Amino acid sequence: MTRFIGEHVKISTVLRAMVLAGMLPIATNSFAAEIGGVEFSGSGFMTLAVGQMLGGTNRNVMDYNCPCFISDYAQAAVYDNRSGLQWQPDSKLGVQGTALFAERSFSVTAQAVSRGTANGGADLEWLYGSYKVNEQFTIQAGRKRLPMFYYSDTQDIGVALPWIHLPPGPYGWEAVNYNGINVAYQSQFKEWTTSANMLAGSESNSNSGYQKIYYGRQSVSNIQWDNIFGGNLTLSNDWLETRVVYIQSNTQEYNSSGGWNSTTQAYDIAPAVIYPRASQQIYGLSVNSDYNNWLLRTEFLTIIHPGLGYRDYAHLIGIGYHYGKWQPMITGSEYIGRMITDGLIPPATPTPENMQQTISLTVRYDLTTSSDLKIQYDSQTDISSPAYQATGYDYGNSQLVTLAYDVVF
Amino acid sequence: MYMYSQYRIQLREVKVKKQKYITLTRRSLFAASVLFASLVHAEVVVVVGAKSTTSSLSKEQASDIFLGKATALTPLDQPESSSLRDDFYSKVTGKTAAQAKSYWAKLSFTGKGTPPKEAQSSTDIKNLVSNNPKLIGYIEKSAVDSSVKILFSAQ
Repeated sequence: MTRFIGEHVKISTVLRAMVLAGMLPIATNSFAAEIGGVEFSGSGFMTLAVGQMLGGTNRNVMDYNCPCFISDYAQAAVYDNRSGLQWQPDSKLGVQGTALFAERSFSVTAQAVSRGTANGGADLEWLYGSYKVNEQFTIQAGRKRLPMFYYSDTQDIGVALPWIHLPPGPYGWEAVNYNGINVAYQSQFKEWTTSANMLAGSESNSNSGYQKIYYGRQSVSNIQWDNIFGGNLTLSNDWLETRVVYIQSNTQEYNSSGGWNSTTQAYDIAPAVIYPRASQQIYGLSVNSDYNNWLLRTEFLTIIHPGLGYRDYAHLIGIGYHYGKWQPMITGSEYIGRMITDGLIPPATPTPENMQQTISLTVRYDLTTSSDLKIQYDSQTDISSPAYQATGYDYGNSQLVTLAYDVVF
Repeated sequence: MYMYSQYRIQLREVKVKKQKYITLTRRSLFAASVLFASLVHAEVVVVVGAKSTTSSLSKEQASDIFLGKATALTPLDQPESSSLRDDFYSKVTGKTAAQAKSYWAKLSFTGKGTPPKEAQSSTDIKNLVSNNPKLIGYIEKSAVDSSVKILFSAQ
């Protein structure tokens, strides 16, 4: 009880800060100034979202009282069975500053995001220097988004998304950023635009949000992705956009605090290795279209973990329609985690399977050119094998409704 | 009888006045609707300064400039509240102004581009483009004067 009272106090503090911060840009808008030949500009984005679980599987998973809907794995954003409206999982406020140096070929960009899931605490999501070599090539170095998905770069910017939260199956991953170098290429040939990125770097997170979902709210887990190397290629014209991505890395994860023990209903003291060091290869394909008033979004992702004996498959398909300022959309998404041999001797036993399917209905209404209102209904169905359901990690079914206000400034 | 004829005359006068009023009102309404329609669907033209060396643009080239795909010219936007902005984006880029803003949010928050700077009015755009040959904007055709040159006209 004390914990909930504490959280509500913090939530109201966070919301006050968010609302005040949201009002500020309405009054002031983004800014730009030139000092000593350096052009500074600032802008930001905000999502105020409120959600309510409508139903699902009643059970305790770790120290979450479910039914639960995980709206963002990387941030441990979980709507659960507590009474009342929940503001924390999807509400966020981001600010971005850019310094553009003389000749406009070198710039430094920083972006910090304050999240409801962190009780208003802010993380530096982007911090990189960018050097424009010529019209085609740009070199960037620093902290950036890991471009696993079509919407990776804009996953926090509600106005740029057709959903309140990204389909959690495909978009639910341990690492969303990396520190390293990126070479970007862009060119135009007739009506086709080509853009490509090659990247290399590493990511370390000493308090993974993702693993709190599987080891408990208070658990502390460390994830390491090193030797990250890969790239993506996007071809687009006025109505079609296709994107392929390949990224490889080594991964290693361990829990340093002890995880939740469902039997004792307390945290274990002993830390545990979650995954030993192993390699992974990520393959992704996205085909999207905006044709007349129709909107199509698709993503297909496969991750191979040769040393760990399992593969991840995730995909989504969404169809929407622009009707003036309204945009209704229906999206189906699926995640499958499957044990598979992948060269293991002896072969892995082909069970258990972790599988969820989600149907999302979203209606977006553009309030202004810079803001929108959205309402979304999600229904997640757990179709995992009985062996996986018995592991204690299975969150079951859930139905959620969320309402959000998005703005950029 | 007199009273009756006087009453008829008065009645006829009232009818005539009423008819004139109705005709006047209809004409006013028609004129207002034409004016309103012309404001809502004003012809939008893409302009640069009169001294610019650029002489014309295709619709696709104009779209590329205002969506950041071509960077030879720096675009200027009308204010968010302007209906001209909606008209321009839907006629030239095929997107609504809100969709264009969403598109630019994706580029600007990922370091891939800087959205068009917002001018205060068509007069402001004319002043800015006429003093800087690298700038390009869009205004209603009726606002065109000798300080600017039309590169593309969106019907």
